[in-house]
Amino acid sequence: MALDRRRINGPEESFPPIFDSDALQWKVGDARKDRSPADIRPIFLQPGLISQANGSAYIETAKTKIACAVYGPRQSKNTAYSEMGRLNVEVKFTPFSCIRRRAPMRDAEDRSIAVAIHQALVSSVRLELLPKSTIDIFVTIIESDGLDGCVASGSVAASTALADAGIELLGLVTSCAASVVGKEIWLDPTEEEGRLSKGTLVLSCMPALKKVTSVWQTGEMKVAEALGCMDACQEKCTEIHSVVAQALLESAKI
Amino acid sequence: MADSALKASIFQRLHPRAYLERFVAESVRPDGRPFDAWRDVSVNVGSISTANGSALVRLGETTIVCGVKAEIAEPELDAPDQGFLVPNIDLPALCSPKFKPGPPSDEAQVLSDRLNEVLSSYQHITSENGLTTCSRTASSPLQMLKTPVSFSFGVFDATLLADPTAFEEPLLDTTISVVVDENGDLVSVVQLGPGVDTGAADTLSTCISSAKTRRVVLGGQIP
Amino acid sequence: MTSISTSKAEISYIQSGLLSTPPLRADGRGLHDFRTISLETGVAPLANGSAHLNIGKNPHDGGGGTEVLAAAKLEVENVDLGGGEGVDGGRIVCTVSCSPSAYPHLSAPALDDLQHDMSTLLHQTLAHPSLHPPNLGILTGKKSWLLNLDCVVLADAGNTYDALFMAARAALWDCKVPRTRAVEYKAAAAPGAQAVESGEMDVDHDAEAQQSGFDTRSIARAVDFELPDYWDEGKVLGGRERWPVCVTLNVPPGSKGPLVHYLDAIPQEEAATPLRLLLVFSFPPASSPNLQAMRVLGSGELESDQIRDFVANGEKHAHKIWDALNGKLKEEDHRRGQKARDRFARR
Repeated sequence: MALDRRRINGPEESFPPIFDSDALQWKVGDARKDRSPADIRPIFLQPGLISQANGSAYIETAKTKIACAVYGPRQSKNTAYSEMGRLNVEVKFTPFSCIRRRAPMRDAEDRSIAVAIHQALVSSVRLELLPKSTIDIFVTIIESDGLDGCVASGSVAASTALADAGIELLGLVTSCAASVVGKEIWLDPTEEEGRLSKGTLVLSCMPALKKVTSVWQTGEMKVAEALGCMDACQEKCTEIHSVVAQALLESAKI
Repeated sequence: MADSALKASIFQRLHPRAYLERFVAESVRPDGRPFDAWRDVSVNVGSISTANGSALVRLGETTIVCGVKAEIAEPELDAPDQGFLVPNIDLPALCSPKFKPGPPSDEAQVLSDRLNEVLSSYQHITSENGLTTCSRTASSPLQMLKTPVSFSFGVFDATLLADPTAFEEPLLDTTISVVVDENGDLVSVVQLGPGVDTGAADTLSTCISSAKTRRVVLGGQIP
Repeated sequence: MTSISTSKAEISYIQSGLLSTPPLRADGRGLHDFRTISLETGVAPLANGSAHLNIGKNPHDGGGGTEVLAAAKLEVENVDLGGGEGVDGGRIVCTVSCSPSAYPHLSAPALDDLQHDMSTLLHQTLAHPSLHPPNLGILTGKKSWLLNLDCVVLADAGNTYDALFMAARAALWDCKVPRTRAVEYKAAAAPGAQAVESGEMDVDHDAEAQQSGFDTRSIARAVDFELPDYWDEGKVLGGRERWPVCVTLNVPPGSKGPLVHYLDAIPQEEAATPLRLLLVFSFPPASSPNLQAMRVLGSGELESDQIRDFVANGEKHAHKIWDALNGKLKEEDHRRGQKARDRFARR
């Protein structure tokens, strides 16, 4: 890899220390540790932490920590005339967000999460009202505990930030992940649980309108399992919706 | 009320200089501070579990997250008993409309470089206590010799402002940063812009003594 | 994929055609009809498995249509705990590249993003542990195969995702893993250990020596491998009948009542249909079908009942594709076996 002169560089090669793993010793059929299968991690959501942005939100679900800022709608640059506004999502991981250090370069994972969040949000924003404009959504993942959780929490934070920015939405988007572990469906899996699972599904929807905006499934699932995951996620999304609405209401009061 | 607040904010955007001048004439700053007052600082350590060390610092409305990742590397041949300390500052597009996504901006590069200079100017950190421990389970804290802290000042219209905000910064004639360690010893002083007479004694010495006083006040918050 | 600009009038013409009863499409197909698909395997002689697929070739002059080339290539990789990327049991990396001539209207960054999105979906689906073939390992803790699946979109006339997955399935079906035999050094009682076999080794010995310095645990005694001379190119990938197929359900906007969906869209139809549902199915022989991926793409909304309905319909469509593809793959195997025998007879 070429040396990046714009950053301060360390030695060419370095290795993370390897500690004894205290990985989850889990066998098919064991019950879930810490919480029941249908529980999600507690959500802490705070809109409006970034004063310079038009709208912003910070979300924390146990170890996952994500900050999100919305700039715009502002004039589209370097693009041809478009009748609809553009929604631009950029995701960045901090170098210390994962167990292994991530070099501060844009990599494949950033883009696929950005695409997933974009898909979750794009149907909720009234882009037809914003010709020639761009809405920039910047998401920084400060700490990650499972990629599916990052997609789900990132979408919730981004939708909250859009609302905080006063951008017209059809509805708030909430999002929830589920994974099939053994015969059970575990909601909001952590990174370790994600590794155990056969397949995961992230569902984003607008609970107020009962409309699904995105389904993002990978891995192996029976059709019935996939539909079960979707139902379970949709139910949780309604609960998350009230958390988001409450957080926005409180921040508006101050 | 709402209307006048709106008018003020439009005036602030259109004529930032005149806006700040009117405040300075009244001996107060737009956020209500006197000239020599500092913004509140809050420090939260160790909240990120994926990092070996981490801190979240809020200075007024500025928020900085810092994480440390420790990795094993072969030392340089000419310094076999020293490791590497690689500081980098990222100014993501998230934090202000003036930053764009992509590679580090000039500002980020300059700041990274200044941080690197302070941290490497003399040895602040040592991890060797004569023993090398090998363990697959335990990790031991890094030994810090010094904890340098930086304090910024700005000169606006021959007025010395401590701890300038993002609004004040682009309007300043001169900026001064003073880095002081926990004993009150100077680590680095950087002045950008012309030396201005701000009425009282020598501006630079005023800044240095003010930074030293502030370092003592902050002492309790920085571990 | 918004392709060449389509006028508003054209878009509404296509949309109303799709929603009318009976539905009308520009090329006269029914909603659930595919265009002609042609497939040939073994097109890249240097790859371990390859396939060339075309959807919608013009029957008169043999041109046009969506054209995808997929090739699987195996490489030997070191497995080590430190920096190396190899893992025990081997790994799969999928990449999709799009020929700029297939997308003349896209700028370079937009093309990159498109390639990247396709690569991600293909990789996330095919490299998932649940589909991992069992025979990509060589020596536990030392060497394994890296399967590179490279797909090239040569021309895009709509429905690229279905084409990509079909081509990928065909190339992986066709892929043969070379047989390997482990080689051991026998520790002789006398100093100066001797290699039992040192004739046809494929790998560098210095690299081997360096690596064993790291490895303090001695699990495997085998230290290297060789490629035995064998009559065929190797063994097929384990569980090759599981590689999935994709079906894209296009949902035209504005349909009332039970939602209309159609398959195998041409570019103009894609431009007129912002919302699509991608379903990737695998049909294991003895059990019920597996969903290997599901994605909603584009703007629009669905109700969960509608998704339920689409999944059920998609399963039927995918099963048809699956059966047709299996038939063709068997035919291709037979054809190539015949060709090989003919060549042998001529010699």
